[in-house]
Amino acid sequence: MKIKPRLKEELRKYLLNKLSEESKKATLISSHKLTSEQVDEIKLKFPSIKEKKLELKIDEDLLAGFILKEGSKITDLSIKTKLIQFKKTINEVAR
Amino acid sequence: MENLGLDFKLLIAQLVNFGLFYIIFKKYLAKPFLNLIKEEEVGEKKREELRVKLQKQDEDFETKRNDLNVQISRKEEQIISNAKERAKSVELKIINEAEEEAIRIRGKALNEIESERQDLYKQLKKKISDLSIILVNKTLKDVLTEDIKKKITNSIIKNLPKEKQAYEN
Repeated sequence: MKIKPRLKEELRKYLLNKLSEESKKATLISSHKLTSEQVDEIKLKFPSIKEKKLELKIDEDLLAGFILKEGSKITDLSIKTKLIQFKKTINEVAR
Repeated sequence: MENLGLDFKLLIAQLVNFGLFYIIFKKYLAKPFLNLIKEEEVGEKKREELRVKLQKQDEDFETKRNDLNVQISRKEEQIISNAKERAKSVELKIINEAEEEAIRIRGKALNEIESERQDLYKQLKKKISDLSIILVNKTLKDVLTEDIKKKITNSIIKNLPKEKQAYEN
């Protein structure tokens, strides 16, 4: 199937805009509402999000800790993920 | 003499008759009769010889028949013995093959059982670990208060290196 060049160009522009918007914001997901001190400390540890618009979300399934999403980059420091990793380790050891 | 009942004329006539009979008998009848007797004797002798010969042949045949019977018996025994040995050899071969097959099947079955056992063991371990994690998850959900969650998050933040690098998903 051949895509029309105009449509191709439109799609490219749209994706670039989307990427540009994504690169300007970051998402912080936590198991509870983070205090402003905690958010500041996280910003200190992750300087790349300082200039970005930070969106805060709550997911109680994380148990504790947080997940930081910056575009396609993800930093997962939640207890839920630790438990999943622990389960994988147990299964590998049990083989 | 006549008073005694003897008649000389008749006696003489009888004597003459007897003499004539003797002469005629000797001349014409005695020889063929003797020849006939001699022929009978020769025939009897030949018959006896033939009988002896036949008896001897009979005996020879009987001996040959007995020999043949003995040979046949030996041959039969040999054939039966060979057949028995061959049957025994075939029987042994079949038993050996059956035993080998049985060992092979048993080994295969044991391997399959062991493999299934290992699989079940792995599945069981996986189930146990999954269940344990589910229990821990559930317990943590029940136990973790907002305060503890905050403390854990603070601890995580503090333990981070100065500038944490995110990884690409």
